[in-house]
Amino acid sequence: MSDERAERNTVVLPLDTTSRSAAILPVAKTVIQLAEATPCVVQTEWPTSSLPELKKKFPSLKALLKHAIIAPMQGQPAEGIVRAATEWRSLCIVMAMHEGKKMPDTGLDSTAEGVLREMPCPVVLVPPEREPTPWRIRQVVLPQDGTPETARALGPAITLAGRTGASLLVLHVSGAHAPPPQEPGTLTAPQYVDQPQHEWPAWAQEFLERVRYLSGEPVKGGIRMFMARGEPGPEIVRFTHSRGADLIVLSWHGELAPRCALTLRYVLQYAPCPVLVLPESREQSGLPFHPRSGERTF
Amino acid sequence: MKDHRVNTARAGASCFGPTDDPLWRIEEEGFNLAREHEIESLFAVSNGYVGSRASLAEGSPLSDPATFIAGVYDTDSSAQGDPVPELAAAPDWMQLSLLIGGQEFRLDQGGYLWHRRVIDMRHGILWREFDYRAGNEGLIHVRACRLASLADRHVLFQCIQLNAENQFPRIHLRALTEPEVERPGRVRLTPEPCPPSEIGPDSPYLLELCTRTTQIKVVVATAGRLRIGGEVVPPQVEPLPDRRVESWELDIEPGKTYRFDRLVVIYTSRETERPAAMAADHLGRLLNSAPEDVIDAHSRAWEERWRESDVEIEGDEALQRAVRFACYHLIGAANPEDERVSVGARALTGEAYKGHVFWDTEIFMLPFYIFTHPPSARALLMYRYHTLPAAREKARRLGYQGALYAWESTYTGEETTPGYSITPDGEIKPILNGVLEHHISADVAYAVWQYWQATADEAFLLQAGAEILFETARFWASRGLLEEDGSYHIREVIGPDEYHEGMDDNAFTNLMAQWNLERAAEAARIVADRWPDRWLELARRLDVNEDEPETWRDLARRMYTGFDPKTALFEQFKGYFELEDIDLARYGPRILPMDMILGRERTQLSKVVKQADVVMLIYLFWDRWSPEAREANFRYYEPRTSHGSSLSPSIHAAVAARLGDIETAMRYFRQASEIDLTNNMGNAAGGVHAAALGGLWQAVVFGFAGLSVRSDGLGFTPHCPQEWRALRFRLVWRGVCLHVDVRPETVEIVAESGEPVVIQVGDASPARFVSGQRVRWKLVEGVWKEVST
Repeated sequence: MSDERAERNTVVLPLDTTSRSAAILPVAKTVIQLAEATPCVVQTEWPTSSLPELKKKFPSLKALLKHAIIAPMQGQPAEGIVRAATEWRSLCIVMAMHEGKKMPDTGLDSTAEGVLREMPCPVVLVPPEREPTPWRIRQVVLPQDGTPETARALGPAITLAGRTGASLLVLHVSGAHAPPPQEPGTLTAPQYVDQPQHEWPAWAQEFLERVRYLSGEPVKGGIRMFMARGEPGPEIVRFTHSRGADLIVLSWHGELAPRCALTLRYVLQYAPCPVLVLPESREQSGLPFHPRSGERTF
Repeated sequence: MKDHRVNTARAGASCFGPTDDPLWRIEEEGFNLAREHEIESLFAVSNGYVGSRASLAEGSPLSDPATFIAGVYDTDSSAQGDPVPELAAAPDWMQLSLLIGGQEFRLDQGGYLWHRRVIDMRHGILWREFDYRAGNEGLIHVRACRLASLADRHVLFQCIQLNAENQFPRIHLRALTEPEVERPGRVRLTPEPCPPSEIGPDSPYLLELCTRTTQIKVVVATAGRLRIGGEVVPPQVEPLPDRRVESWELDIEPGKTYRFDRLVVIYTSRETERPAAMAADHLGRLLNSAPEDVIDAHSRAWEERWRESDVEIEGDEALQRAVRFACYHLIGAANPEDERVSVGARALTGEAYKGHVFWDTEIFMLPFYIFTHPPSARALLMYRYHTLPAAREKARRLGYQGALYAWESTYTGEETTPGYSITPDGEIKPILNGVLEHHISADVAYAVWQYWQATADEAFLLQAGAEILFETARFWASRGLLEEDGSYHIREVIGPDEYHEGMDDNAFTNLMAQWNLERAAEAARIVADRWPDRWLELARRLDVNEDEPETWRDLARRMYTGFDPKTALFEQFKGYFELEDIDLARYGPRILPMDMILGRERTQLSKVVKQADVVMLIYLFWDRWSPEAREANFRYYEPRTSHGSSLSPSIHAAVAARLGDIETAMRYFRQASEIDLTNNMGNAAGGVHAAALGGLWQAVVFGFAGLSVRSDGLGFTPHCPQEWRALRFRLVWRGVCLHVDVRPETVEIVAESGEPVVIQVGDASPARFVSGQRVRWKLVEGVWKEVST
């Protein structure tokens, strides 16, 4: 790897001439500014358009492309995006959820789904229906199931929110039929509420402390706790709608087989705002809990 | 029980460590930051006077060190919402930092090869062991222990021992004692301005603190010593006004043992007017002897308590450890020397529930103390005696007579239940328990009578017990109404099933009240017959007129019970049978409490029961009901109970065991045993569930062994699971120590000492035991028969 690649923060930005690019540009712009990163553009249609053509189509690209890296397009679009993110050890990928045909269940197209399956770093998935208006992060929804792994994955999101002064809305979602996760150290909703006047405040405080410390990042903006009962996917979407939140952050273990990732699938289908998907396993993530030498964080 | 002394340094440095018997150890291997708060609770050390959470001495991002002193409550009047008194956190006396090559040792920073924490339950000591690799400089072996002395309750002790394989230059050991850091939701003791204590290498350091609203003064005296190969090395002391920092710079050499001992003595103005002088004197005396003496005395005290309290389950190691874990925390929760405090819902292991005292103590924990350590039981009941004025005041304020105990209380006995709670989804819920959950008065009376029966402690009955029974009976006599149907009705209450509020004629409340009225009348007769002078004095002081006991009997007779002889069912409260029936099986598996799933309103309109209510009634008054009624009520209410309280599974285990339904009993027993010990729910983060632990002991002794208290002695109707090869435990009954050995088809009981005692097993003829006698029974074709004496 060249020195340049080791030193530059990059955000991979798949672009084409369709309307989905218009939707992702304001989101990408905000992410790139917050991360003080360089856009790494991957063109995802063949034949590729020239940069002047793209700039003409999307005037807001002008400033963004000033210092951009243009990654060569090779193979399928998903492959090219993943390769660019891997080679540049990018902070994240910002891309649209779909253009045209959605894959059943996920709300993604084959490109987005292909990237998600291989994600070498976090991915911000933007609903293509999003108006191309400036994107500000004021409220971030952090759904949590109480497992340490989910909490640990949140570090980058908390950093991102910290830079914008956004409020973190930590949403504990408990399904009516959900058995407790088996991961040691999980904090489920309290099974025994001997006395609600004591149990709930104690539990909420414990829950927030775990999220704060396990995420490995100080929470700069306000952090508030909410609880939802029911199926996690619909509850997250409902909550995000009701709060008018700007970003949903989901950590994900990486398995997209049938009957897996039901929450992620639902949220990606119905999310009213961009969704930041963080790999649960830090080994797969470019955004580690404790940055080791040479690793990158926001 | 064999004598298993703790391994102290006296036997050589290599022997300094916990018991190696796995059945006496609760272990946590490695380090999982997410579990820190749970581990701190589970591995807490406590002696009923003071309890310290098992926080890492060097700290971690999630460490929450706290030491709580029984009875030291304060109110954070600046807190949002509805501030109530809570246990105040004492200074963190356990802090130690270790700098190796300029780098501070922290588990969350890695570098350790292995790490283990162990509660040696037999000796009541928290041990910690790990190997640390500092860069390329080799290995340091670390072993540390911590205890709250059971032999001398004012004393806390900490020790850390270092051995290295290589030379380690520039090791910096720093011992810090400082006031608790501010933390949301916690009240802490604040330092009092006082002149700095004399600074010297061996002189005690006194940290004087005070509560803000209750003005309780607390003095923490501390002294640390470092010994290298037995030789004391003086520390460098930083003379700071409100904290003590002792430090040592070392060049560690291989083969040498470096040991740091810290002694801490705590006194408060609750027990002496001169806490500073007492603490300094006490610590001075301790410093004149070897630290091993503290460990030895403490270990002997624990051995002594286990001789009376141990429960052995042969055939299931996990349950064996769980039951010992329960006993470990129960032994550490009560202080027989202080009758002005009681045991809070989380004992002294965490700040959740604010150290408040509930019915948990009398109904769930007290039987353990009554039958294993009556002095502790007596002290806990005396707390209720001393808080009678507050109970009388509460009754008066609500328009009743007699004594109505607070649903939640601290050392004053005044009502401290918060007025409302806010659930995490933002719902504001008024809390009515402090106004409507009245059964606690009868629960206290129940415990008084149980203690009286088990101990025949006349002094207690005359000094305190009778008065509690009379005053609580008076409350019940004023609480209900004789209505047109000729029955006595108690309206608008909350029973143990707190999902249903403001109910009329809750069966549990009514029958407990009935029993309270009966026992008060009986106590009046006993006192009048046997101690007429005392009766006259009591009657005069309490203004008990001649007819009053007869009124109590009459109201008890007329009490509405909700019992239907046709179905043999109690209706949990008036109208319960008309509520919506919800099949709880359809909601499993689940972790959310049912009232959260269904919502408050629907839950209240349904038959979903939060915790044992009628089943609790069956359990407490087993011999009052026919076998058909016991069976019918358990089978009716058990499927409708959601176990939304940690108090519920153990009672269901006990009742199922008594009914001979071992499969159900074992299912609930395992559930009860996992409430604190499971590692994937975070239940214990705010402290252990002391009542659930007491319930676990009761499930063994009253459930599987089938203990019952009879008018002339004790009864056992055992249902020992086949997979248990043996169930053994001790009991104290009126000064007689009994060794009970229950197996699936035999029972053997030995009376160790004391007066003769009558014991009946199953339907066999009662056996009269004298000291040293051993009797054996055998189950023959479903019937217990005495086979040898």
